[in-house]
Amino acid sequence: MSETNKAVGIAGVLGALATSATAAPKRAATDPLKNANNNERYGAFKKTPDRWLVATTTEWGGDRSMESELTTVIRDADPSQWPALEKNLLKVLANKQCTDKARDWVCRMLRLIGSPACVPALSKMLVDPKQADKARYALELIPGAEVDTALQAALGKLNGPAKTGLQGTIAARKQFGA
Amino acid sequence: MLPASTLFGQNAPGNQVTFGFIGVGGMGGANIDRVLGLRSKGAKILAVCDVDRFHQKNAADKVNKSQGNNDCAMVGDFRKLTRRKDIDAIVVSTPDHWHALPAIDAIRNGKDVYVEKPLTLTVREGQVLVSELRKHKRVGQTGTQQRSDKNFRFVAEFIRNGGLGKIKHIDVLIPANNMYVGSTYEEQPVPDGLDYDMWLGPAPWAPFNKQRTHYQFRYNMDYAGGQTTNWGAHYLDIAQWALGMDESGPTEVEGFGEFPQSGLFTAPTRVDFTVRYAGGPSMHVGTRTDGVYDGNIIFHGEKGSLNVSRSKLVASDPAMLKTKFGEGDVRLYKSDNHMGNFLDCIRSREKCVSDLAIGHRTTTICNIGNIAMQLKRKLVWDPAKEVFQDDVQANRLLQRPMRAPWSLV
Repeated sequence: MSETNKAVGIAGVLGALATSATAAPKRAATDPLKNANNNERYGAFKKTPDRWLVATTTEWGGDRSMESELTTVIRDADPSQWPALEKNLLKVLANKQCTDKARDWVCRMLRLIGSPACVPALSKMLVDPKQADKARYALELIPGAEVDTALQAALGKLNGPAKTGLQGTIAARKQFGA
Repeated sequence: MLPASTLFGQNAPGNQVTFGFIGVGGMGGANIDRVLGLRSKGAKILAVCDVDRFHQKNAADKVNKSQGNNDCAMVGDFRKLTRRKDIDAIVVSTPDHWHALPAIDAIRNGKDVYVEKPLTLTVREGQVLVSELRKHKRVGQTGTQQRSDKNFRFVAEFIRNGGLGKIKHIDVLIPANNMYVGSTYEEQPVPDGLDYDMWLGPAPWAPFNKQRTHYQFRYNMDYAGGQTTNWGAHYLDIAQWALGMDESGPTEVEGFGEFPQSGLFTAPTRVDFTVRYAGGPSMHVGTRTDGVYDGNIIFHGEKGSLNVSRSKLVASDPAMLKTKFGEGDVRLYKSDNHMGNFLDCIRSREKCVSDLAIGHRTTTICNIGNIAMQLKRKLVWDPAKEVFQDDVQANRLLQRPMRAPWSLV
């Protein structure tokens, strides 16, 4: 079932339940919602977590099922949908609640669908030795002169292993393309 | 008095072939036994390398005891082995994400290499490894030892000689995962003696948990490809051999496998993909559900079928199994000892029975199978250019950027 069909299907079922409940309300005495009106009750049922926010706050070792669901969405998406998904991924990165695990996941997803549009956000990570590996994981395979320019610009701002890794990425793009 | 063989034979110091081992737990330990079994043919182990000091010590003790010396070197950084001038050959038995880099470094430093299967973690690594092998004119053996087994060789020869007629379909079964974890995990302290940063090497950083390392590495896609590559590397290799596709591969792949949605393991829990060869058969690869921890391959041809695994060889017509090949028949490379074949080829400079290029082609099928299962769509593969046609995502999955400071180029 597509996402759209799923939404229609669930709304339809909930609508039918609401109508039915209005017609014949039957509540147990112990039901904490016995005094609530039907809309509130079923409104509460309709509330679901914001999956992008859940992915944003996922920690290492935590339940990553929402990441998995979004990964499937991203893998299944038609290329015409990639820019919108890329925007969502960049929002995750920009969120102050974004965890290290979430940054790792976002960069894995940008590796698949990323475009030069993600260069500004990843450029900041690229010059942070603690985040540079993640940024390279995304950028190494994204084509575009903007990416090459960002990688070259970061060279002068890194030292040690992070710089060596960056040189490897630049060399890989030259040898294998992106 | 020294025996003549020690002075002039294969064991004479100048005629010995010296080995270094990188990765000496699990398969590495088994490979040490195989090389120690070739002592009478002049094989000698000089050094072992492992990021786990416990493994180093165990391996070195075994080598010293068997060789009757006390000088087997122990190191934690593979470059201390690959750059030793007195070592002729390197055996790489590390987790899969650490196959390509040590092997390439060994080749560039003039060593011959035996690399455990699956040959590499990615298609790109395999391309570079094979290219470097040829460029430096080294000998390379992939650890797909079923090519040195008479039953598998018979099946491949029988099919290559038309015994089953045209092959219509191939069914490959590989074992189900034999390790499981929960949907969450805790970071744990790194055990004393394990260099975890070096263990991770080129793979993305992740917190230590004992389920991540050693045997279980194979169930995390950052370090391996699950049973698809673990057992697929053996059984798809036999399909490639029997079809005469060692320098090519299928042209289409489609997958529907299942992956864990949470938890530390990320490799398929159910393998299910099909490849098709141009103008030839289709081949389905699936997880077996009968609990047997072995693979199985069944060739279905116009004239019948052959079913072979490590423990059985069954033909639709038992008379097929009595076939003797004669003059004019296709005869395949004969090896009855996989490590022995490597040693022989080090001396002869001939290609091994499982030359790295062969291992690369087989591993490629495993890897594109995993990619197809992840993307769950039909992919068109160009075996000449080794790229997918018209699928950006699939092509980006052929290569993995490496954690600093490691690099493939």
